[in-house]
Amino acid sequence: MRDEFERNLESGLRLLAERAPAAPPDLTSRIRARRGRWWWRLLAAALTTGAVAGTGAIVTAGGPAERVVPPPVTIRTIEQVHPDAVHVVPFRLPDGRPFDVVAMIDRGHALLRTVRDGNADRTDGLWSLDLATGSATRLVKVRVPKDSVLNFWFAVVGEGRLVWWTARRVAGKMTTTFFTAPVTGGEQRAIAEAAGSPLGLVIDDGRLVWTRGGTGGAYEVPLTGGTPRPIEGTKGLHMVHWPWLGRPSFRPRDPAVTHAEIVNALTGERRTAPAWWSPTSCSVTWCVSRDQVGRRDGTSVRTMPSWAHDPPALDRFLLFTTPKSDRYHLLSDLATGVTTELHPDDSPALDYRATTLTYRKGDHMVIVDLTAID
Amino acid sequence: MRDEEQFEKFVAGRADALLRFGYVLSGDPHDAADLVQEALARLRGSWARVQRKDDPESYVRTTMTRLHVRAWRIRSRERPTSEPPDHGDPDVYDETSDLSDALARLPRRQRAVIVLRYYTGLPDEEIAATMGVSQGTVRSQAFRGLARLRGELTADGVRRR
Repeated sequence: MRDEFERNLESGLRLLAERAPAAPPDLTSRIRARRGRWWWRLLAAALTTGAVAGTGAIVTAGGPAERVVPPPVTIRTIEQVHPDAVHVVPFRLPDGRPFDVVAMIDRGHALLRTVRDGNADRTDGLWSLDLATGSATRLVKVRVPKDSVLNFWFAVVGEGRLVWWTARRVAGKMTTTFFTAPVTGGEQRAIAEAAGSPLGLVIDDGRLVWTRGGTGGAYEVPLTGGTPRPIEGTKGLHMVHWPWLGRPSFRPRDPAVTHAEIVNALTGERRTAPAWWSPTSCSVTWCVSRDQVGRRDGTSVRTMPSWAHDPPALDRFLLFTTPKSDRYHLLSDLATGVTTELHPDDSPALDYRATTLTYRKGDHMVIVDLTAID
Repeated sequence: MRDEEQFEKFVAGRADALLRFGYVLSGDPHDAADLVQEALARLRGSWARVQRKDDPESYVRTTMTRLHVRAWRIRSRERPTSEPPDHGDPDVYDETSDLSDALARLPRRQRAVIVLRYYTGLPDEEIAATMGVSQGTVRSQAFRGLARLRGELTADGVRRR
C-alpha cells in the first residue's frame, strides 16, 4: 500500500502528463520519412508561447480546465491523529530525578523506573506516573542484587502484578533473578532464578514467560514463584510477539532474515517469510528490508521514507526519518497505513518489544501509549 | 493485415499515450517528441519481430527510457537553427509546476524509476527489465528519488517553503 505522498505523486504525474503535446495526425508518415522534425519545432514553439497550433488536434500545455485536482493531504501530527494515546509530562520527577518509562500500568498511568547515581543497572524505584496530573507515586523501592550487570529495560504489568528482572554472574555464568510486586505497590519479592538473560517477558495465564537470550527457547514459571521449566517445542526460538516465537534471532551475527520462521507457542502454527532476503527483519505480520516493508508473503510491499532495521513494535509501528532531518520524526502504523509527525527535540528510538514511545519536546517528555492506538 | 498497416494502427492508437509518458519522463515537450519519434522509428524497423515476441508498447517504452537515461538527445545533434521566440516562462503554472520543478532536479535514472513506478505503474521487476538494471538498483534509485521529492515537496505536491 502506498502512503499519502506516493498516492499524490501518482495523481500529480497524471496531471503533469496532461501537459504533453498531442501527436500530429501525420505522425506515421513523419516516422517513415525520418526527415527533420519541423513539426515538432512548430509544436514546441506553440507550447512555449502558449499558442494553440494546428486545428485542435494539437493540444497545448495546461490541459483541460475542468480536471480534478486531488485534495491536499499532509502528514498530520500524532497529537491530531491519536490524541488519546499521546501524553505530555514533565521531563523529570518533581524532585528533579530523571526517569525511564518501562511499561504502561493502564491507560492513565505509566510505570517509571529511577536509577541510583545515574547507573542504568542500579534501579532504585518503580513509580506510577499519573498522566493526567503529572504526579508520581513510588510503588516499589527496588533493591538490586549485588554484582548485577544487567537490568530490565522493560517491565511487564499483568494480573495485578509488576514483574522485572536483573542478571548477574554466578560462578562465571549469567543468572537472572525475576522479581514481582503488587501493581498497587509494596515490597519486591524474588520469584525465580534462571540461567542466561531473558529476551522478551510476558505475563500469561498466571505464569511468567520469556525466551532466553542467545540460545533461545521459551521458559515459564508460575507468578507465585517456582522453578522455571522449558516450554515444549520452543527450542532455539526467540520472543517475537507472544505467543509468536521466531528464528533466527534479532540482530544475528551475519545478515539474515530475522524471525523468518515463527511459531505460535500456544497452537503450534508455523509461518515463514518466503518472499524476503537478508537483510530483513520480520515481526508476525510484516517484514522490513531497508526501505521496503511488506507482508511475509511479499504482498502489500511499500517503500518507506527511510531505511528501517528492526521489526515493527507491536507488529505495526516503525520510526522513519527523512533526508532533511537529523532525527527519526515519523511514526508509521503499518496496520492502518497512517504516518504521523512527531516533531521531537531528540531522535527517538523504538524497540520492537516496546509498548510505549518516548521523546523529548522542550522541557517535557512525550509518552505515546502505542497500545492505545486503535 | 499487413505489417505496415498494423504498425500504423498501433501508432494511431498509442502515440498520444507515449507522448504523455515521454513528457513525464523528460519534462520537456521537445524531448518527449524526439523520444517518441525515435523509438517508433526503431519499432517500425523491428515490427515483425517485436509483434511476434513482445508487447510493442513495452518495446517503445523501454527504448524511450533507455535513450533518455543515456542522455540521448536528438536536439544536441540536430538543434534547430532558430529557437522559438522567447516569451519568458510559459504561462502554464498550475498545481503540477512544483512537482515538475522537483522532478527536473532528479538525476535521469532516478526520475525514470519514479515515472515507471508511479506513472506507468510497473512493478520493480518490470522496471528493472525496462531499464536494463537490477531490481536492487531500481529500489535504491526509487528510494533516493522519492526521498529527494519528499524533501522538496509537501504531501500534496507543493514546494516546501
